Amino acid sequence: MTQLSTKVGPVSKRARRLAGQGRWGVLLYLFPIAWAAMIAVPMAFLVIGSLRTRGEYLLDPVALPTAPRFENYATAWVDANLGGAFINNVIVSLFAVAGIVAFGSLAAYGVVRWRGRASGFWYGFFALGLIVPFQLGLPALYKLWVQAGLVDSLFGVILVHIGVNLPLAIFLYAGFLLGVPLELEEAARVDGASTFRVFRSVVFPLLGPVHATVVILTSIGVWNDLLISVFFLQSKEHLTLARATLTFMSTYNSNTPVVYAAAVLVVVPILALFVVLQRFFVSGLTQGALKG
Amino acid sequence: MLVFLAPAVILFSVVVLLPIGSNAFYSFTNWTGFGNQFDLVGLDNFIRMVQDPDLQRAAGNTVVFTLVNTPVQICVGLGLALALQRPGRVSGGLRLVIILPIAISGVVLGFLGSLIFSPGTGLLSAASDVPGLGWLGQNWLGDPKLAMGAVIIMNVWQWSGLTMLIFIAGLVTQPAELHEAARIDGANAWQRFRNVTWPLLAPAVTINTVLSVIGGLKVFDIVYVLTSGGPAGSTETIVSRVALQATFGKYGYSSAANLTLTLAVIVVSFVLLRLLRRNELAS
Repeated sequence: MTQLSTKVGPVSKRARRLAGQGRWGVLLYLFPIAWAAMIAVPMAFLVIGSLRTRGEYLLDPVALPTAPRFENYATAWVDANLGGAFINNVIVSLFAVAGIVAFGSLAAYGVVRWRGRASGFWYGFFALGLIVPFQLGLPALYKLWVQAGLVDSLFGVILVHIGVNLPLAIFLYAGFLLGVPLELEEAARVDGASTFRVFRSVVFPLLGPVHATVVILTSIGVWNDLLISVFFLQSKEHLTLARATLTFMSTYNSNTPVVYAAAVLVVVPILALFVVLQRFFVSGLTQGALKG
Repeated sequence: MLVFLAPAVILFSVVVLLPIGSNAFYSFTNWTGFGNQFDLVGLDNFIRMVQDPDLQRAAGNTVVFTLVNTPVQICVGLGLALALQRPGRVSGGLRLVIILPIAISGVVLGFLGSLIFSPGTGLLSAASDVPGLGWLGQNWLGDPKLAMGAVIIMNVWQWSGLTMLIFIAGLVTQPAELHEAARIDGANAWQRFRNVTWPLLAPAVTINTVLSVIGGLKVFDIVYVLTSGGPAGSTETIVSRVALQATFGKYGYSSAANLTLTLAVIVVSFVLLRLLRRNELAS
C-alpha cells in the first residue's frame, strides 16, 4: 500500500496541476479553513475559559484571562476524584481495546479464510452488530450480569465493551484481509507452521494500519463511554471519567471555569492518542472499509 | 476456523444478541422492569405504540433529523475531502483539526454546546453584539423552533471529519490515469468530477450514507447532552423517548418500541445498501 501511494502521489499531483487547480489553490482551501476555524474556536474557548477565575467569567463569559489560572485544574482533579477515575478509565480502555484487537482480528481471519458458504453467514452475523442498537438490550443484559456476578466489576464492563465493539473491528479487519493474497500464509504453512502460528506471526503483523484504525475508533468509544458505566458500575471506587465529570458538573455548576478544566483533563489523553495514530487512519480506512 | 471465531461469537452473542432477543420477548409482556411478575399481553404494546402521540412526534423528529443531517454531513464531508485530498503540511494540519471533534465525549460535547449556544454567556450570543450579526443572539437550544437545528449543527460539527476521511480514502485509491485521460479529452473540472470522480466514489458514498442514516435513526447521546429532548419535546427522538419509558417502569412497552425501531433500522439499511450498490454497479 505504501508503495502504491508513493507511486500514485506524484502522478495525481501532476494531473491536478495540469488540470489547472493551482490557480484555484487558495480558493480551494477557503472552505476547509472556515470549517477548521468553526471547530477550533469553541475548543480554544473551552481551554481559555478553564484558565480564568470565576469572577472573570461572571463579568464577561467570553474574554481572555488576565493571567492564566492553573489552580482550576488542581481543583477539578481533586474535587472531582479524577485521579481514581483516570486509573479506572485506563484499565478498562487498555483491556477492552486489547480484547477487541485480539478477538476481532482472530474472528475476521476465521470469517475470511473459512472455505464455503458459512463464511458469508458469519459475515452477516457480525454485520448485524453494526445495525442493531446495542443500547436497547442493556436492561436485559443487566439482569444477566447480576446473575453472573459481573455487576460493579471492571471486568464485567470490559466484557461489555468488547462485545459491543467487535462487529466494527471485524468489519474493518475482514475488509483488509480480503485483499491479502494467500501465498504468504501458504509459504509459512509449507514450513510447518500451525494455523494459529500462521495467524500470529504472518497475518497479525500484516494488519498494522487496520490495528491503528480499530484502536482509534474503539478507544474513543470506550474512553468516552457514559451509558455502559452508568448501567454496570455503582460504587465510588469504580467511577469512570465520564461519570465523575457529569457528577462534578452538577455539583460545581456555579464555577464554570473549574468545570471546563475538568472537561479539558478528560479530553487530552484521548486527543493525544488520536494525534499520534491519525496518520495511519486514512490508510487503515482505505484498506479496511472500502475494500469490503 | 471455528476456534478462531469462538471468542467473538460468544461475547457478541451474550452482550448484544441475547439481550436484544430477550427484549423482543418482553415486548409481548407487561413487565415493569422490576420484580419477576408479568403477563403475556399479545400485541397490546404495539397497538398502544401506534396510538402514542408522544412517540409519533419523537418518530417525526427522528426522521427530520436523519433527512436533514445525512445530506448536510455528506456535502460538508465531500467538500472537505475534495479540498484536502492532496497530502501536504497545510491539508494535513487542517484534516487533523477537522477530525478532532470525533474524539470528544458526549459529556464534554454538552459543555461545548452550552459554551456555543447559551443565551447571554455563549459564543454566538457574544458574536451577536457585532453589528449585522444580531440574528445570532437567539435562544438556540431553548426555542422549540431552533433547537433541532442546533442539535443537527452540533452533530455535523462532530462527525463531518469522519465522513471526510472516508471520502479521502475513496479519493486516494482512484487511478490518476483516468483523470488525466479525461483532462486530455478536454473535460472541464465539473465534467471530470461528474463523470470520473463521482462514479468512482460510489463505495464511499454508500458507506457514508448508510453510516449516517443508521446513526440518525438511532440518535440519542447528542440530543441527551444538548437538550434532553426539550424544549417541549421538540428534539425528542425515538431512542430518547424509549429510554425514558423504560425508566418509568414500562419495560414491556419500551421493548416493543425498541423492537420496532431495530427492525426499521435493519430494513432501511438493507434497502439503502441495495439501492446504493445498484447505483455503484450502474455507474
